[in-house]
Amino acid sequence: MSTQYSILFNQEQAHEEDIWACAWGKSEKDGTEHIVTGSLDDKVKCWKWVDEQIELKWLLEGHQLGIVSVDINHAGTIAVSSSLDAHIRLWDLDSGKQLRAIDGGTVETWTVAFSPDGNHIATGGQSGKIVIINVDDGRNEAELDTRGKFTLSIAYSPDGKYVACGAMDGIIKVFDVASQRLLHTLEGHAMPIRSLAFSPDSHRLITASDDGQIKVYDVKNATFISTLSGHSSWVLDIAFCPDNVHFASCSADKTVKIWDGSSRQCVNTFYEHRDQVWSLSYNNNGSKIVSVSDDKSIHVYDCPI
Amino acid sequence: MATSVEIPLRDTDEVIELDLTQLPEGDEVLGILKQENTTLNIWLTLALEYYKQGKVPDFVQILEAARTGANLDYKNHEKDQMTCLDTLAAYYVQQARSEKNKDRRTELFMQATQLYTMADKIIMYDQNHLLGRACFCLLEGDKMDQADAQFNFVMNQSPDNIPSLLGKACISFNKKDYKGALAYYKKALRTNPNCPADVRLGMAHCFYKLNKPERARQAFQRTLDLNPSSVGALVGIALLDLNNKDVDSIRNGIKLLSKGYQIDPSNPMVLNHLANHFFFKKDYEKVQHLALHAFHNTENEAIQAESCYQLARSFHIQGDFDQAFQYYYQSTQFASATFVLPYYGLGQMYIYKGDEQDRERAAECFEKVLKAYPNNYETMKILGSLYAQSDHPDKQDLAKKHLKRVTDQYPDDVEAWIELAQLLERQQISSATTSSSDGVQGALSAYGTATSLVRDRVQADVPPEILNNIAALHFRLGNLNEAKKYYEVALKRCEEESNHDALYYRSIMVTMQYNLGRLSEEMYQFEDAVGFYKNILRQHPNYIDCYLRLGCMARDRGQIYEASEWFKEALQINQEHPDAWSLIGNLHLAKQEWGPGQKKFERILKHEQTQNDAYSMLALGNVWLQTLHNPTRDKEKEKRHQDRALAMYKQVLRNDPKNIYAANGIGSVLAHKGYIREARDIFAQVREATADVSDVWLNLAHVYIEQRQYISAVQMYENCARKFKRRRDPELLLYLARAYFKCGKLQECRKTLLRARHVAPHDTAVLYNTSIVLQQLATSALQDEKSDLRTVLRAVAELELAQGYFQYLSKNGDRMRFDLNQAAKEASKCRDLLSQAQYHVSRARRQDEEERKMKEEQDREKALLREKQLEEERNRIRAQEEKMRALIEQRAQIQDKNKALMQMAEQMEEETPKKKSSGKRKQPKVMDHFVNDGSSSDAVTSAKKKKLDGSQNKKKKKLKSKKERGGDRSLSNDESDSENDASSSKRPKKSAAKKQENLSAKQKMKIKSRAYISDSDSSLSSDNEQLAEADDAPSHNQTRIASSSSEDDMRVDEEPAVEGASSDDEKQEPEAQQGSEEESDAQSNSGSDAESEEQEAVASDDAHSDKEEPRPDSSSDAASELE
Repeated sequence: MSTQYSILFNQEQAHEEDIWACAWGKSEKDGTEHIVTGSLDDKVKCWKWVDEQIELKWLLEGHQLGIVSVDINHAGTIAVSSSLDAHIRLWDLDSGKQLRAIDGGTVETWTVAFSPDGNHIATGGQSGKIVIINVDDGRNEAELDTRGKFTLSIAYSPDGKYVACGAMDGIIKVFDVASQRLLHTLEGHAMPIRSLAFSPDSHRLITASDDGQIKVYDVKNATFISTLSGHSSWVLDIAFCPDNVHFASCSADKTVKIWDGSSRQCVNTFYEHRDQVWSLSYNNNGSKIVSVSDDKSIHVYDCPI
Repeated sequence: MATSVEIPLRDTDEVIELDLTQLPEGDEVLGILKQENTTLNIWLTLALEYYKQGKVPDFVQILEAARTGANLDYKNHEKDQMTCLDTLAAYYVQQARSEKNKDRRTELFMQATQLYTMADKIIMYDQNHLLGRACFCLLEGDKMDQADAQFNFVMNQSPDNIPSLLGKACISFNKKDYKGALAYYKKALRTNPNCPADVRLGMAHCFYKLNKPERARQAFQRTLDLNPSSVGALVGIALLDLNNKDVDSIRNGIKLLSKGYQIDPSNPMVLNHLANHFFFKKDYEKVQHLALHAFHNTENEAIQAESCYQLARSFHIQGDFDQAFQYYYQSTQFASATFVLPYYGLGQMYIYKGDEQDRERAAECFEKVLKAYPNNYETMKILGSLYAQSDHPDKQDLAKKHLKRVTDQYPDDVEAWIELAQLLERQQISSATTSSSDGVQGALSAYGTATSLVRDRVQADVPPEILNNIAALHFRLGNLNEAKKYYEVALKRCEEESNHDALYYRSIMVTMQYNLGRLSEEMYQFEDAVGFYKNILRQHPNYIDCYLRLGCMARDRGQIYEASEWFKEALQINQEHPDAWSLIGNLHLAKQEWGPGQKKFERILKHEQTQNDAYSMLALGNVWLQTLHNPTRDKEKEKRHQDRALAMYKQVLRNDPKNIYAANGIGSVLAHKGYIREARDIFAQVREATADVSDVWLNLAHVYIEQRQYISAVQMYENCARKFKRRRDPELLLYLARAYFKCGKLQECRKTLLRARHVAPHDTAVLYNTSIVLQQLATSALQDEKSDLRTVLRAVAELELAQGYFQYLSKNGDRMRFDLNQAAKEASKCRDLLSQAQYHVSRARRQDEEERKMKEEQDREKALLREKQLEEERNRIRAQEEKMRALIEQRAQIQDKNKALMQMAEQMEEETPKKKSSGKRKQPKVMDHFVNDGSSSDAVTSAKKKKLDGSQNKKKKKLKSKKERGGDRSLSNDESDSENDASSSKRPKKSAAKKQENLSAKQKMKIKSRAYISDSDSSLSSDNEQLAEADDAPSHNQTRIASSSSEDDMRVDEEPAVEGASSDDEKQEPEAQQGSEEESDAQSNSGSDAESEEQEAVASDDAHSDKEEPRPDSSSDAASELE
């Protein structure tokens, strides 16, 4: 338990090329903590977090053209990855075996996100439609049409009620999962939304945009709460801390910032990466953050909780 | 003394006795004298008598007549003649002295000269004559040496001649040899202790000049004792008293002066000194009266200068600057070289007038003062601040020199430090291109000294203006946190001060808030910045820059509509604001709305004040350049547009030969016309001039590609991406990919394109290029017969991907960026390739299988060999065992024989068992040995095996290569055998070539549509950036107020694109100017205080200079301007 923000671990040359995606999961079965990373080198790597460092556990091959997005289900057992070739692959983290490969269509896959129950994967792409895929059989179970531009980012609310997506033109849409109805359209940004995240209590939605700003919305009423600025370039990824207060963002300005949602202030900035930071993820209790960057390194930070 | 004169009558002994007390009319006497042919000596006596009685005209009449009419027929008549001439001459000299009319005076001098010359002819060396002459020379002023010679001559004859001693003393005094003068006076005094009081007066002056005030006072006193009405002595003592500077002495001095005034109300010296006194009494009417009186009562120019000066001063202090100016001016006309005070006053008057020319004249005046007093502190300071106001760099350097000297000599002078800091700050702005931080640092440290002085010495709080300027300097240096700190303190200070001058402080607070807004933007605290701007607008809805900044921020967030709303808001306030129009124009251009954009810029150029706006011209040039990027068949039109673009750029260059954006634009047009080398030269020059414009880098890279120097192009693109932080810019990544493609680095190309796709997945042009590269890579992988199965399979998969992409693109692609039909064609090509791919797959699979078989075979062979070896081994062991057995048998036989022999030997029955046992013992030994042997042989074989393995490996390799060759052969055989195959294998080649062509065609297209057109693209984006800059510019102004610093920095940051030659710079110039104006306002605000203080300081330091100088500025004015 650290009392201040600090870098805990740094894996240089974790991939051969730029690393674009990462996720952190803890197995409900045996408590193993996995970090999954995806890179331009077409490889997905599964690392085990032990003794405050990472160990390569599986090298998961099969993708083409670079991995865009990865996620781990809530149970911490299955990882999903998507690549520029619009394929989605599911991997068993225990065995390192590929469970399933799904062809998402030529250009219809980008970010992938597990539903909180782990039964579905949501993705979207050029047409703007959100596709809900059943994990068990790999079939499209539903399509939510945003009638908008390229869907860059997708997030499920932790209570499973909502799914939100951010588009190339900065428009954010929130759907009700059960009724598949469009609930809200949020127009605060006008530039690509590369990431969005719900608070653990599912009440708030935070959005990260190329305009360098982060906006916080009330999900239920679709009301704007605040704007946070501080990044000098595109905000590439954002993640809510399990403590329901803090959240972390990373940017093309090479920094990782930690924000206090209540005071609306940036409480810490990590300048460790040498190139743009594409993705970050909290661990299950919010005491650590992993970030990956074009500098091919994986960083793990300590956070006070 | 005789009371009568006897005039002898002619030819008789009778005389006419004239009673001196009752002299008849001059005519009558003259008649008698002439009639009786009286001797000259009598004429003289009578003339002198008339003179003594004050009947001057009679005196002159008699003497004039005596010159010709007198009887010279007596002894020593020459002497009398001399006396006559000299007396008359002396009279004329005296007349001349008091004559104010110049012509008349010269006439009198002429007469005197004539008389003296006549006298010269009679007795050249007569003492009295010489003395008279010498005095005359002295009086004429410029003949001092002549006079000196004559005095010397007299003194040689009679060393104690008092007049010549006094004369010498006078000459020495005038030559500033006060000791010598004193010596002569003393000698005169010794020679004749009863000589006139004036000798003592002279001595007093000498003592005074020799800085012996006590002796001087004694001498003056003595003079006064001798001659109580000696005004000179009175003035002398008065001056001595006045210089004592205590109240009693001054009162005493004034009393003496009044006494002098009573004695001689027209003595200019007394009058001037009294005027001076009343000046300090602030009784200016009296000053004017006295000084005017003095002026009219003297011929002495120095005294006149003094009088004029007194007059000027009194007008000056009463605020009548026109009159003051006139009198100062007159005073400078009269003043001797050492009397520079009127120049000081005149300089101040010129400053008051305030024009550029007047400032120069003022500087001239002060330069004169400084020449007389090279270390005069106020003068240096005034000169420093005068020159500092000039825009001329040389003058600014002079100012710097002066101010530095002031700060060196008086390190405590806060104002000088501030002035110096402001100067350095401004110099930095004007020479912004060099952007050396020295000047900024210098200014900062000067401000630092000033503030610490204010705090420590003056025990006062630092003025908020200075804090603001310090903050702005920090801003310029990039110390954003420092800047913020200072701004905040400045704001707080303003609030504290605001009860003194609410209007002024509120107005500068607005500026500071704006500066803080700019700072917040720079620190990426956009929310705070918006807060500041909106806050300002609530109080000052006319603050246009705030609207512009708000608009620019909205634009940077991609909220174009909001941005244009803000800009329009600005236009509501100022219909012709060029920045607002430019920004709106740029918004149109960014959306490729050429027409409306063009109109906005043309509007700016139509307006009179901005008809030479370089930014607008460049923007228009860029618009024309832009149209060139859309390929057209209409050659005429193309040429027309080229020429228009060129005309625009040329116009800009005419106005500003150093405009790099215009040069860049011309380079672009040249490249368009095919003059690649010329274009390259221009780009290279532009980049030499500034490395801060990314467009030039891109253009150079494009030109490299045209010249087929792909590696250089790649380097150039990469450097550009690195330097301008555009590594994720899809446009730049596309250029880079193209360059990689051209030089055959397909893997790099692929990677670059994937990066671009990652950033811009929706961009169909990126997808198209990605597909092309995938297709290309797959084709070459398939064609490469050495590709293993894995590679081939991967290539097939990528080919499938490419096909899918092409198919998708043929329907959903962006028509503006590539030909959708081409995509369809590529898709079918991929399909063809895929159908042939099967062959390659089977080839690879076969090869793979063969390899596997081969490997298996080898394994088998190896196994066999091993088997064989094992067999051999076994055989050998068996053989050995048999041998052994044979041996044992033999031995057994021998033993048997022996036994038989032994048995035959009956005596030794008991021994045999012993031997047996030994024999048995031996056997195992032998066995051991064998085993050992066996093991050693094992070792040998294993070694052999290793060797074998090695050789086998080698063999394998050979085999493999053979096989490959064989494979080749077989393949070629295949080809020759089956036409189908041949064609199939040829086709890919062709198609590859075609593809190449296609690709290159496409690339060319891209070159056109991107590179050259990409110029356009980039110029577009550049326009964006221009916008950014344009908007930054205003902001800079403000910061500039503050400091204008940020400008350069920001430009560097934001400038990136302007490929087509963005005119940011230009845009900024006018604004910059505005900025500087405002700045100067602000500075004059702050400076005004300083100056007024400074002048007060001058007044207090210099008794002669006035207490209140005119304030060349008025802070209230400045404040209102700010408002």
